[in-house]
Amino acid sequence: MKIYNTSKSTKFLLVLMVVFLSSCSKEFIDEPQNTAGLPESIVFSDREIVQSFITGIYARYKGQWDDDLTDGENTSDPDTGGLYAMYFARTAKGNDLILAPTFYRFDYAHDNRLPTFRRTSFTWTFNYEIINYANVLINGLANSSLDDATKKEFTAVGKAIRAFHYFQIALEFAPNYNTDRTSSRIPIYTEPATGSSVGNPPSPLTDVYNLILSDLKSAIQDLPEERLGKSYINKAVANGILARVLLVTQDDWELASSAAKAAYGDNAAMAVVSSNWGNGFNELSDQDWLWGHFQNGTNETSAFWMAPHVFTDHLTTSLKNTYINTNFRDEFSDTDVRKLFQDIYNSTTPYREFVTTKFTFTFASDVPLMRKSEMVLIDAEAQYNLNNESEARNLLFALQKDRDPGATLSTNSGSDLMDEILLERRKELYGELGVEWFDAKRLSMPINRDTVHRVIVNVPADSELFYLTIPQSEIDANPNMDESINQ
Amino acid sequence: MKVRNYYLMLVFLMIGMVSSFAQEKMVSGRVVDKNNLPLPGATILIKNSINGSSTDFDGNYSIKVNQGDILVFSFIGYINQEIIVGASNTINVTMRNDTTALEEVIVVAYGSQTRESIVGSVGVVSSTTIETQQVTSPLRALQGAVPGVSLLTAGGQPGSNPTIRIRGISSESLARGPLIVVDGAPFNGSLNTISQDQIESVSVLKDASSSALYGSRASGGVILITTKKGYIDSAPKVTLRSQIGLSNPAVGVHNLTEPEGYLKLTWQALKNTNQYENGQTATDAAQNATNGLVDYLGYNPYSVANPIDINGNLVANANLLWNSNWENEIIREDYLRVNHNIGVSGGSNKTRYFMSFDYLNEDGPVRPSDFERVATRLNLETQINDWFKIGLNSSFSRSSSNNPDQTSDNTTQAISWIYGVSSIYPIYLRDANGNLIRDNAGDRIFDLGNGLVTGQAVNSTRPVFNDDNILASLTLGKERRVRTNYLANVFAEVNLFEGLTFKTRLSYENYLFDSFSFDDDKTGAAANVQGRVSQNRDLTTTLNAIQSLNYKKSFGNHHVSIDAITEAYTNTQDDLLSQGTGFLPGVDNLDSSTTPEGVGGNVITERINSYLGRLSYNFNEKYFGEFSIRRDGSTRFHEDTRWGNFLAGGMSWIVSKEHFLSENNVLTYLKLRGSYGELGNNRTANLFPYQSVFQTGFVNQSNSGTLPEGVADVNLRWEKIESLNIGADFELFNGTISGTLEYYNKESVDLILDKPLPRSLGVNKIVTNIGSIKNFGWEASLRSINFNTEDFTWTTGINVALNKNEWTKLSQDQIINGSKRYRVGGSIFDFFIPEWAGVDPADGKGMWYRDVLDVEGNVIDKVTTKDYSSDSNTRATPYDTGKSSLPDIEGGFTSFIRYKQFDLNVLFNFSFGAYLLDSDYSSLINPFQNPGASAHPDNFNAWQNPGDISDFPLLLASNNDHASRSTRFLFKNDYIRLKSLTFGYNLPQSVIERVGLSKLRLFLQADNILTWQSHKGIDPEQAFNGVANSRSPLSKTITSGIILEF
Repeated sequence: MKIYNTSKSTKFLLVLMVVFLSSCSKEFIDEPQNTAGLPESIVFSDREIVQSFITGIYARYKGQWDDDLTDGENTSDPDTGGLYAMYFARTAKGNDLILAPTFYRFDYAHDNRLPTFRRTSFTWTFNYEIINYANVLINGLANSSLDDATKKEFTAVGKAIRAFHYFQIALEFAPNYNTDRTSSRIPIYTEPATGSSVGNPPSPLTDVYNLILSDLKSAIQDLPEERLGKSYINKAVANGILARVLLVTQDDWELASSAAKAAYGDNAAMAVVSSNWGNGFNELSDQDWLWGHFQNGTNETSAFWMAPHVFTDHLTTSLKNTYINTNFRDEFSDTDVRKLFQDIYNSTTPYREFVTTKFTFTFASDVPLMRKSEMVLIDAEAQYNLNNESEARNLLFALQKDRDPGATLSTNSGSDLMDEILLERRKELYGELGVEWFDAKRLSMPINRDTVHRVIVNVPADSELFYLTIPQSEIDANPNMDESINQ
Repeated sequence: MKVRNYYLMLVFLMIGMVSSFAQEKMVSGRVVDKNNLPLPGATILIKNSINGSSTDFDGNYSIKVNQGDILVFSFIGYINQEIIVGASNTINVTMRNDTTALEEVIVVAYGSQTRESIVGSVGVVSSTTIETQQVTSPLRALQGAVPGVSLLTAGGQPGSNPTIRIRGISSESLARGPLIVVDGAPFNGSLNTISQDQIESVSVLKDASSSALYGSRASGGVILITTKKGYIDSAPKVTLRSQIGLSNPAVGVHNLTEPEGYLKLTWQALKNTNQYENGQTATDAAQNATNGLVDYLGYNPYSVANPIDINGNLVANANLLWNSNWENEIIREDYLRVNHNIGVSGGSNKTRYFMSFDYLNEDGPVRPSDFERVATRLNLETQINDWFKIGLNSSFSRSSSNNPDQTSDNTTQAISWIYGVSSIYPIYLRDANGNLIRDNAGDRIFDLGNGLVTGQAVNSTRPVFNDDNILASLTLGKERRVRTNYLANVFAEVNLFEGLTFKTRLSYENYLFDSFSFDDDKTGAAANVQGRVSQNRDLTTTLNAIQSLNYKKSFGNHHVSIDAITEAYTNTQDDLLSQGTGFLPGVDNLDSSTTPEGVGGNVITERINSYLGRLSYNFNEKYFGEFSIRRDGSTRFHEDTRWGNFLAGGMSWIVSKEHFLSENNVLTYLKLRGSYGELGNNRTANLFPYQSVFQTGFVNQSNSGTLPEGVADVNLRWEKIESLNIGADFELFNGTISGTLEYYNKESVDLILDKPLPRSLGVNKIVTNIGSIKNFGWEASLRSINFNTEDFTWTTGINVALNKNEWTKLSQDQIINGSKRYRVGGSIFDFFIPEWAGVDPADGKGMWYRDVLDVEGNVIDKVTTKDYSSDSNTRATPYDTGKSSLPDIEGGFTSFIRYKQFDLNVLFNFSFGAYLLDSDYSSLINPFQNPGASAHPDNFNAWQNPGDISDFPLLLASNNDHASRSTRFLFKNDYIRLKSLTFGYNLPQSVIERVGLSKLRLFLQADNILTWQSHKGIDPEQAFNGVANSRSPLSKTITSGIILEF
């Protein structure tokens, strides 16, 4: 017995049914949406999402930087991990700290500036990447229909960020501003990159600094003091950045002083009070701290990458590669709370005699990027240059007496006073921002190393060792640049 | 011996089971040709046995068989016929003329064709070839078997899927591998979920006309896997196969120095740096090297404070306290491979089925790598009535493997550890005097080199791979991968009227990839956070629906076949990951995590909608023509550029059917064929490559963050491949010698490439259509039947492929990509690196060549330089070395010999003319600027004093470029590998019939047991770009096995 009739209608019904059920419509192919992220139009439609873009930038500062967010593999290293890595490379170039032959050892040996090296590529790419984010932010806001207050506030954030990174590029890739203002090594972009962008020709340093100053001045006007946390830039931080820029240009000490004051709050004695000394120097909430990287040890941590703590702390499981120049240690009086040095190894190797316990490493260690105490010292330097030496001494003493109960008001004047300010900067800021390198570069001073060092390199004033070469990848892909830029 | 007992038991068990099944009887019949004339002397064999009979003068035969046996009828000049013994006791056979296996049915795109009618280029590997190999990932069986198919298996992790390239590399940045189609449906799971015993045949579609119907994704070729199905009208047949054996690394790793040598070499490097770089006197330099050696390395494996004296020798009373042979600790020998499977197939007059179950457990060279898999399959097909047929192919597979890292760039990677950490660093924690430090329980503690004991000056902080210990991560940590694959594929076929068939096929694949990683809570990278567990669960589902209409009609000598097909493809990636820290000792489940560290996941879908048509025509089975068109819409492109059209056509002519050849006794078969067509590629890494979006998931001070990922080209469109194929198939002396010769030329246009952007733009690249690349070459295969008698058979086969690759268009003059330069006229494989010029005997410095330019930039001279990269006026010039990672010739050689009950099958694969940039080796040469990295004994050849003639420059402990990329480390990478060897013995039929079996075979199988290579210390299978990357070697495996059939 046959169950099925071979009637044609049954067959065709069957076929039609299948065809109908599976027929392809236009929706079939239009329906899938990109769930991997947000399109730009959505980002700039909502204040909260624009805020999250800015948050993303600060997350990038402290992360484990990777040159390509899209390729799914991280080819970076702990010494090229984020903003902290740029600063620690500067620290490594000085005389006060000594590095064992592990991470940052080529920076330590002043042997890391050629066009294909990791340092060169990282510092260039990282800063320009953030500059493009700032341009995307500024441009996206301008074309958005967000309210004016939001536009104004976040445009100011974008300008402060852009200025900060052009300042870093200028410090890292060009000679000292006051040594050669015409040096053309740095291309400027104020528009976001698009699919049809080509590389710009390099601009003279004067243009770069003009952009930095105008961005900062404009940002300071529109930035509020309120912020989501101390890892964000607010008006005070923008003033602090301006004060630092003016330390380099050295052409407006009035503004340098007022910007520094705006950052530290006018009362130096209150500004310098800090609970971090002797407590690991890893707490962002300290009133002295204006700006820093935030880590919580769980979902916000750069793990074993976060300089300086992971490299300087020898008392816990860490990368432990930094030692202290004994001569630098000897600069501190015994009553100074900053004299945080120990001889834990009993090593006979001279460079390994002392380590510092200033920084305590955990996955939750915060990292300082700007402190009021530094601003007080900038103010002191500005007063010195404005010929207000007594005010300079008072500001200096405000810090000194807080750190050292045995401190007395300085009696120095002239270049001795200036030298004392610079020494105080080293004592206050060691390990943090590469203060020796920054001061030597902007003041056209040499960096000479004591014989205790593992690698003794003496860097003459204004030496080309003070700046990196332009990366080869830039020269290869930028039609407006050629090999001659590195000659 | 354990293994033997196991087999004995198995045999007895089977015999007991089987006796009841066997239904022995006599079958007889007559064998005739198409004119009904008797064929005397025709052979009748029971398949997979040596039991047979032959016809008498009148073509009559009789043979003792079991129901369900397959009888193979053969006669020279005629096609073999296989008939399954059913209920009837009479089987009469009409043999058809043969010019070999031309009537063989080959699975092609959306259907099947006879070999004779194929106009394109299709390579086929059948189950018989696959059975001679032990391939955990089944497509490894293609290596050396099909010309033009290049395979690489990177690293020795068992279960690793090979990288497959068909006819060169047709794309730069997109997926370059072939499209895999299993039983008619695109396959997105891991190939290692399919066990080799399930496969009936593998077809490799190499040219445009054969693969055009897969146009949108066929640019890298198509591989069609067809699984076994059983036979109509056959009794149930049970096949049991069991294999157990041992594996070893196929090749060793590079030689490394032991502590004494290592310290001497490092001392020499320190002294040289002191003397020649820092300007110290020879005496001071030596003294400082002696004093600074232990400090430089951080560890001292000897009993004295300064183990190397000022002459560079070991001091007399120094005792060696430890010598860490990391290679022996990490790479094991004599590890197990076990494979059992059982298959059942058969059929009634309407229904056929195949069922199989396969169990595999294989260990890998790196401890504790392994791969354990269960794979099952059920295929069922039934003819409901004379016009309606339905079927189901379904499979389930689950594998679990320990997968320690052995191919990446990470520090806790087995091979980079061996090469990265020298023998002077202890496995277990030592105090400053070199004594073991034990924990409270008295156990040794892994040394992580992270200064566990505060204030210990020596043996405390390791300058390399600090805070890690490979043995701690391998033994205390876990890296587990679980792959679960379920595949269901149903089809229905309706015969609407004579010649017109409607077929619908719906397939669903569910592939779950589960990875679990645990870093120990006490030791290693996660000790600070009391252990870390990361779990990923990635679900890939593929739903594919095909509707097709086929119409076949013959008018006299004209034969026409038309297909109209629509296809809808949906692929969804559903990923989930979670990570947590803070575990109690001995606990590694996420539930116990006290601190959740991260979560992530996304669901993203891509679709393709396609319309296809194919028209085939042949005249008198002599002239064949085929034309096909496919129109595809892909969600990977913008609405405006979404649709791509792909056309192809081909023709063939069986010349030997013409009058002027039909009487030729030498050239008995000749076919010429040619095809041309277009194929596409949309397989970008990103599912929406035309969009640039803001990535989410960043976090700062508990606020959520987002960042733009770059710039995108909204006009991105299909990458297209224009492909030409010309081929000839021939046979001499009725198939005693047969072969194929083919030429192909395929050009990829609108190539999707990463166009590098200047980094100052803040973005590093844009994915866009620029450039064209061409692949062309020859392929040949030759097969011969050297002997074919009742007792002795010997056949051989060889296949070779000669491929070339050339850029035909680029957006800029040149793009430097690592060790290669892309430029028009050059190839994607050509090494473009500085040329090594040897060592200056005066100062021991390494030299490279450099072009001298005049003011116009013309090269006027070539001189040596000691500057590798620092000054653009003096630095080494990278040159086109004329050497390439693409072999001049690659292929395979097979030979099969049978003598009575014994048979021997070998398969070699070979590759000649390729070069390997051995960065594994270069990392071991002059490594002393990075204190602690392992060193090769070749460093003892280094220059030491002015006047020394050496090709090894002076060792230095300061920054230098001597081991930088140059022709110094470019080695010829020729090799021949005995990929498989099978030696078998079939028990005589008279013996096994007594116990009710139809087949009993004992065999030895050996894979990769011999490797001849021109450059040693590294597996010759590395990567298509010819750059080593710390990969673990493949395994060589020897197993013994048994096959039972009843």
